[in-house]
Amino acid sequence: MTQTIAPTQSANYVGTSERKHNGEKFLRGEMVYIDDIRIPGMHFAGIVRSPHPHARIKSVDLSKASVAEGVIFVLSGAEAAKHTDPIPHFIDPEAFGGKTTDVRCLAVDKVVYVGEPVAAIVARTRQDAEAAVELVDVEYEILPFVIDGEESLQPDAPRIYEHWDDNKIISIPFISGDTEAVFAQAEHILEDELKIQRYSTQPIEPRGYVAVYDSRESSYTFYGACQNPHPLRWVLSHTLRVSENDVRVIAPTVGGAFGLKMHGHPEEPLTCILSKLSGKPVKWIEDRTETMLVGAREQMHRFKVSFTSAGKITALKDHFVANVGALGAPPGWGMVFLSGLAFPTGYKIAATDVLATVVASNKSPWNAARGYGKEATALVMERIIDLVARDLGMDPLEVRRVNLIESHEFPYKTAGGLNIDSGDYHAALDKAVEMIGLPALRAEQEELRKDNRYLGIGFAFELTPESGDIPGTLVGGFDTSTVKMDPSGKVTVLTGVTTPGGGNDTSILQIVSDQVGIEISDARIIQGDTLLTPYGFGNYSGRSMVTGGNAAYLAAKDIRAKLLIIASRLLETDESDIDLRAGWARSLSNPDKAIKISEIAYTVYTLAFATATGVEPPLESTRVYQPENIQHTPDAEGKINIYPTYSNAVHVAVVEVDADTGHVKVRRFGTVHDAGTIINPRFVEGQMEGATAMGIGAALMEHSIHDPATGHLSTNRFKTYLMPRASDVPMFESVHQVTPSPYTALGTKGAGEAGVGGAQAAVTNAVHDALAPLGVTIRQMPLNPQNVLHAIITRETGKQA
Amino acid sequence: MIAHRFKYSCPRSAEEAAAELAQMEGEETAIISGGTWVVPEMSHHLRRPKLVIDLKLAGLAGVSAEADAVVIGPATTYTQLAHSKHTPNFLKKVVAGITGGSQIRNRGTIGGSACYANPASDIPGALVTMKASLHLRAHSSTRIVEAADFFLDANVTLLEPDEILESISIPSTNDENLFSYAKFKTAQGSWPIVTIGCIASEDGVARRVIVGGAGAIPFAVDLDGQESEDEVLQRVHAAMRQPWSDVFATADTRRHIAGVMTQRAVREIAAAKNGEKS
Ligand SMILES: Cc1cc2nc3c(=O)[nH]c(=O)nc-3n(C[C@H](O)[C@H](O)[C@H](O)COP(=O)(O)OP(=O)(O)OC[C@H]3O[C@@H](n4cnc5c(N)ncnc54)[C@H](O)[C@@H]3O)c2cc1C
Repeated sequence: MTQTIAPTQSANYVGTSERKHNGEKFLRGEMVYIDDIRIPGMHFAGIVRSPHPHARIKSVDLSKASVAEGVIFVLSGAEAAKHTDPIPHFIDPEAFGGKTTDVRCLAVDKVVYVGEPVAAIVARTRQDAEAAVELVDVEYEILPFVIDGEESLQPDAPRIYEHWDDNKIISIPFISGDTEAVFAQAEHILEDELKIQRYSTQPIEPRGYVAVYDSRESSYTFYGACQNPHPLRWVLSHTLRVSENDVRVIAPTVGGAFGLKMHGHPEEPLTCILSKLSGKPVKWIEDRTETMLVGAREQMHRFKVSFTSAGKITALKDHFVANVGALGAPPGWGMVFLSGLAFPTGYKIAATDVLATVVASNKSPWNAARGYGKEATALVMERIIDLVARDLGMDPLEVRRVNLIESHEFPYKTAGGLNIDSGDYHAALDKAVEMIGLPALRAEQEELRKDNRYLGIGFAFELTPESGDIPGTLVGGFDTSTVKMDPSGKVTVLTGVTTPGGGNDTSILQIVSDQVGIEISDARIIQGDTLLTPYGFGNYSGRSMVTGGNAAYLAAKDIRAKLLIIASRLLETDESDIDLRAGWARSLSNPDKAIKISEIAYTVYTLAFATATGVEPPLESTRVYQPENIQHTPDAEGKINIYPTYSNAVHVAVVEVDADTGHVKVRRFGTVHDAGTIINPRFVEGQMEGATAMGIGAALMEHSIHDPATGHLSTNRFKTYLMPRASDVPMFESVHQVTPSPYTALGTKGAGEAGVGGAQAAVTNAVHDALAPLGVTIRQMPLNPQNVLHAIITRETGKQA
Repeated sequence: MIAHRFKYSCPRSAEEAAAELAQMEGEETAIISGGTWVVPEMSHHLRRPKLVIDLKLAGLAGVSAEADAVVIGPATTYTQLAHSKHTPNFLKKVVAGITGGSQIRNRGTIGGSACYANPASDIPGALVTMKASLHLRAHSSTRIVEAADFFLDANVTLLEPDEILESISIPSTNDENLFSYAKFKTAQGSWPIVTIGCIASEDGVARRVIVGGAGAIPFAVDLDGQESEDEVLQRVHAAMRQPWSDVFATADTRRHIAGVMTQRAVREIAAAKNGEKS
């Protein structure tokens, strides 16, 4: 049975920049996205949305719409409520001691934001549906509204939910030590504020759903551009009053998600109930103006820090307010909790007094957005570091060095209760300084200043707790993968994690192919189908490799163990002498002795009572991976740790600011990134580059603006909601640093969320460094010409900002 | 998606188009040149015309040279302007900076941009800079107006509902003069906050600078070339009579940037002149 083979090519996939296994299909436009799905008899949904930020619904008249061309079904909120229950919150604030409210797929009594769904149409074509939407007469009693977060906290603010005694959803304290006592003794104290704008994420593919109700089976098949098929199934079954096993959720190829496609959106159950009540498959595809409604990130920080003359920060107080708009069922508001928890990032500050206040307003609801609140913490902390440095006349790098956790101090427990796994922050900082060539830049900066040109260099450290598990919610920190090898030796991987396009599917195949010794082209992976894959939580929180990847590793190892047993019997050598690689099992001591993996597989299935005796068929294994380090039982101080891994990065931005116009140009951008063990360097870099571009957009231009007079979103197209184009960002320079996590099987940490806050902070610090000769502090993000110029002018004329 | 039904017509001449317009009598009508404004507005249900008049077969595209003017059809696209040998040098520079990719440059037209009169667009300011005159046609009459008079307010022009823009003529007298064109914008893809156009006088002095984007309509800043930088600023501020603000910048910010950008244009022309001499 042994045969002679040519020496095998190296097939060690892990650690190489393997190309996307299905990249060619993407390039050829052959992937199936939600809008490519067409079911026989499919109809289209049209949604009537509120034109008012706050109003009582007096009546909904659907009579004209119901007889319009192509219309087969119309639905009011009152009618929908007879068939559906409120949408369960992804993370219910009430469970954390806050207030809650019912969110329905169609508003019943009143609307609380512009764009809230009020009624729905099912028609033969999308055109007919959109035309009929215009024929629906809704009579509103207009109520006073509030869109500003701090105004909304005032006692006389319009009450958004009548059963609440104010508009505050929740206030969450994160307290460690006695800040007031430290302040009282402090050498130096600094107080300032920073307003982070509302901005969002804009995947190239908007949301979209196709629902098919099967009346014989009383079951739903739901195709959705979504991130978390299994948890969404639970939400749909509860909203639609059917059992969970009567709902199948399928996520086709998703064209970017960034949190926007986490569920709780009213259109999800709405499409389903429209299908059931109309008797037709129903499709709904979001328009970009609707995508733009979803908000995130708006926070007003007021902070106070004390520090020594040596730059050591001794206490930090930050009471901040986040305006999350109307309370929606998606996990948006939870970002604020994370912003608070992530303080003081990678800095050793013993006394912290952080209070995160979440307030509702009449803006449209938030959803999760890449960074999940931790980006705000990074921005504020990094501004604080640079402000302390400015106050002391110290080098901001030195202030970082004085305060950053040192490599020998890991695992390190933060004031907030997080247990940071591993890292070498000081080394990362040194690498960043080296990669950017700091001394030459400082010299250039000085030269240019003589000509009134303002070059700035800004650094930022970023800590990204990833792969979280929030107790009591379907935000799970573990996941499951199945690896199956068939009698031909081909492999199918089924996993509960999903991909928004970043390539975790390919990376998982790299891990599995290495373990079972096959060519990656002989493996396929199935994700995003609740009927086919093991239960899983999908993608968020940089979790897919940490959970699904490690689970696939364990499952593949089980198969590997069986392959090795059979191989050792067939090759008549020790298991330890066998290498599995590129489709072959081969003796290491005698490389001429080899056998195809496919023959071993066939043996397992066909000689189960002979050669394969004692090796349990089939070649299938399902394993779950629960990373270590998650600690849900409160410690002595009552703190829990919801994150197993902590990727980190140092970012450095070089900008030039036109002080006469306020225009900022990013000249260079570099990152030193530590995501633990790297499975595929190119994908990790891709994640970082995308997040960095997002962070540069956040720093300089992205801003969702509501018209204060009408409560309407003014920035509802790409012509008004500005995002950076390729020509707005420099080539990214990047360096990896690897400190494996001791808490995951492969040593991986999350990769995916890091970059947004770090880039935003580095650019912001660079702009301030550039404008240092003018002594400017900008307190309103983003740093667009309007805000930069305003800060320069008010500084020069001494006017109040 | 365009949801409502409408009539579509494709007249063969400007006169035919004007005749159709005359019959509409107050009914909402949309003229489409390239359609890059009208079609998205119809998709967003912001416009519901009963009749759409498409100018694509009306023979209104093209650039031709006459004795002392260049005549441009309103349906000429940016790509056509970029490729024509008759396109004035200044306009070539403007066209080179039109964003939106080949989709917009191949469809968007000079006449569409002029008639839409978007404060932040390039063409209104460019036409005023070039001292263009616009030929307007109604069913039974025609008239000629100067670009400087054509723009009345944001999205408002002298065009009557029954009129179309038939041609644009640009005097070819200053085509060899020094010029400068600059846009100030937040990001590559965004609308400008300010555009600055200047065609210098024959002796190479920036005597007339046209500021677009800063106000509701383009406005001229007249200079004699002797002003100090501060005086240039004051001229700009005094000339800006119809302030404009949008999500990118307030009227104050626009005024400030308009001043700075005008100073730079004046400096650029002066430097070019000195460069020529040396
Ligand atoms: C992505 C994008 C990028 C863009 N970038 C730029 C840019 O960099 N600079 C810039 O200036 N603009 C820009 N535009 C704006 C605009 O699309 C172009 O300026 C374009 O030239 C408009 O011309 P059109 O022929 O497509 O207009 P249309 O939509 O056909 O018409 C616009 C208006 O003019 C009227 N109209 C058209 N022709 C006539 C006529 N002959 N007589 C009477 N009325 C008429 C129409 O009824 C309509 O009201 C951009 C647009 C987009 C979508």
